[in-house]
Amino acid sequence: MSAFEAVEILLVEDNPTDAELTMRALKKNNLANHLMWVKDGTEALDFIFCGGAYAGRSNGNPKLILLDLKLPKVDGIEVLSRIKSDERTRTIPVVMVTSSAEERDIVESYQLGVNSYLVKPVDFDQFSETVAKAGFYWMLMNKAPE
Amino acid sequence: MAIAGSTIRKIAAPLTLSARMRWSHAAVLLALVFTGIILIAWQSYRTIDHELTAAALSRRGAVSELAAATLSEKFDHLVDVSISLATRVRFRQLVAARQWTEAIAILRDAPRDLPFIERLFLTDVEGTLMADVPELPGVRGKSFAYREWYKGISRNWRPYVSPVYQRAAAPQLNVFAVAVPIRNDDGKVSGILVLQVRLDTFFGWLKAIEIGPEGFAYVVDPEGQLAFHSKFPGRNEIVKFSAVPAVQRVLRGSRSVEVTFDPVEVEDAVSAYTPLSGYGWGVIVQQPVQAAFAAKNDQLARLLVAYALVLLFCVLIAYLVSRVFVQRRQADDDLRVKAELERRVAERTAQLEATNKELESFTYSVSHDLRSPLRAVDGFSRILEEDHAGVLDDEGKRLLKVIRDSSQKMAMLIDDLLEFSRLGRKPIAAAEFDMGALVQGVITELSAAPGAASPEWRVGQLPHAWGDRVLLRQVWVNLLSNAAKFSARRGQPIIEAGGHTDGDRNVYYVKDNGVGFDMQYYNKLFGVFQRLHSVEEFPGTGVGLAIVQRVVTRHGGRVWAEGKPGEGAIFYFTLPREATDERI
Repeated sequence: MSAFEAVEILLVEDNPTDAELTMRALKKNNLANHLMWVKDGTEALDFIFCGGAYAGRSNGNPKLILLDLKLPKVDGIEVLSRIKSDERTRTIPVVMVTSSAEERDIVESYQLGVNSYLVKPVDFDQFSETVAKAGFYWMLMNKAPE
Repeated sequence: MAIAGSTIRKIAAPLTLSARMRWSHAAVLLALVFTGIILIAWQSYRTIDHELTAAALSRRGAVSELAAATLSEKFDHLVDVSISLATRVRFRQLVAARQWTEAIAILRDAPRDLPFIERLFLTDVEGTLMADVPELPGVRGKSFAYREWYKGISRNWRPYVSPVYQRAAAPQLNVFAVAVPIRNDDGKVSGILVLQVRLDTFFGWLKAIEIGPEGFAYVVDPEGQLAFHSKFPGRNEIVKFSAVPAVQRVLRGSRSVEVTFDPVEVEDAVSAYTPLSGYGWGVIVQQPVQAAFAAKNDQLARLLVAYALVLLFCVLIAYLVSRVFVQRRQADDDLRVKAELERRVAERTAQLEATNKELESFTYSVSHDLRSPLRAVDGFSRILEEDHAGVLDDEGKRLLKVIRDSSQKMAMLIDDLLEFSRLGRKPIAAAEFDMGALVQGVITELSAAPGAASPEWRVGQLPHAWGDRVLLRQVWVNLLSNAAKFSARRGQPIIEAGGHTDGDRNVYYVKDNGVGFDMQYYNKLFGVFQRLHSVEEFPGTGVGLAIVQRVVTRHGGRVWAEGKPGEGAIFYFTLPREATDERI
């Protein structure tokens, strides 16, 4: 399972264009070398908890999870709730990256313990900047428990 | 309200029908009860009327019986006295010996001892007066055989009480006579002793009989002549009363109490009459019907009043009971109607809430789903620009820029639309706050924004407000930034904010000396995405004033504006001084 080794960023995004834009923004800043992209909530949970297609994965937790809110099958809120309610995964920083600026979503995410909540700007330059800053912050500046 | 009214009628109609049936039952029952009460009352009224009438009549009957008995005793006594006088031995002997003067001398003191005896005299068997006490000149030797008393006694030589007559000699008093035979030792009649009795003294006691108001008593002799009348005690001529039915009946020996018409008094009267057995006289006690039954009628009237009061009381009770029932039924109906209406309101509310939820999820989808493709359009245009700039000429780059500008404009429109919808749904958290401070804060913020215009701000007195501070802040931001935007091209832009209290509401306004607007397009002013200027002239999406109107309306206030092209605009809005729950 060397393919999953040293996954640092888990990107959970159902929209391929958004995913591509996100990855491009990270790549530009050399943050996408160890990035794993999954397309729905179920796959995200499988990866995180080593289930389904990812059973037997033994390379530890990602350093950062970029999570979209609205996902097929299991939605982002549910994924967040599972991550933050499990002893093993609670410490993984989770950043919501979403189009929704709904107060309701923001409040709920924070109540579940989200680490950041980013609204994707439509403007690509702003978008790139936002994603890059988040990546920088959580990957390089933030000191996480070992 | 017409719909609500017809709804109430529809709900209440079937109740009214069944209620009417129940009412008719109650009315019939009530009518039966009242008829019963009235019948019983009428029955008892009649019984009491009869009893009272009988009592009134019997009391008068008793009076007449008593008077008759008394009179009878007096006559008996008179006859006894006469007999005792006429049967004295010496007296009889003197009469038998025709020694009249000596004989009368024995009886000389009798008129003095018996005051009702006006005079007494002795006649022989033929009725010729032989001696008298007190002595009258010129009557001795005169025959009185024509007098009734003589006719009466000479019929069978038994003591006789005569009818009434007038004394021959002056004073011509009304008198009657008691004649008793004087017999000698052989039992042969040798003379007659006559006691003449004055009516007024003899019957004087009758005046004392209590008969009641307007009542009177009178005595008739066997010929129907009036012997005494308690109403006219001093009458001199002798009056015949034989035309009076009661007199006719009493002289025939019958006794009764009856209501008859009295031809003498010319009125209906209660007459009680009793004959004097053995003498042929009669006593009549009479009272006008009016007076005789006055007490009875009074009592009956009181009874009627009491009945009326009882009936009235019953009616009142029935009325009150019915009122209570009507009110209870109305309350029931009201409750039912209210419950039904509440149910419908709840139903509608649930429907509205469901619709609202749908709308919410729709805007949610819009926010999420429309942004992604927009971002892709913008992002990939950018990538194209960055990665493939070499194969694009200037026109190609310009076209890419148009694509990027358009997608960003659309993003702005979506953001504003979502903001408008969000403000419409956000619950209002009302509290009192300092509107002046709020406006100052907004102005500071607007002035600090990069590239902001620098108009002259004039802030007047602003009354304290009651409402949602956050939402109302948005109102001021929109109005003040609008004013700044539309007056930016003026040489000397002036923006004025102020307000005052007007009754139960506060009025606020923002005035600028900007480009203004044509009142012709006023109806477009507050519409969503409605713009009165081109984007090139003034940027914006046309949602700002729509948001202002929405927030103010939700507070129970009103927004309006005045403007003139080239002369600036003034925007007003009102807020209730104290918002109630209904208004929010």
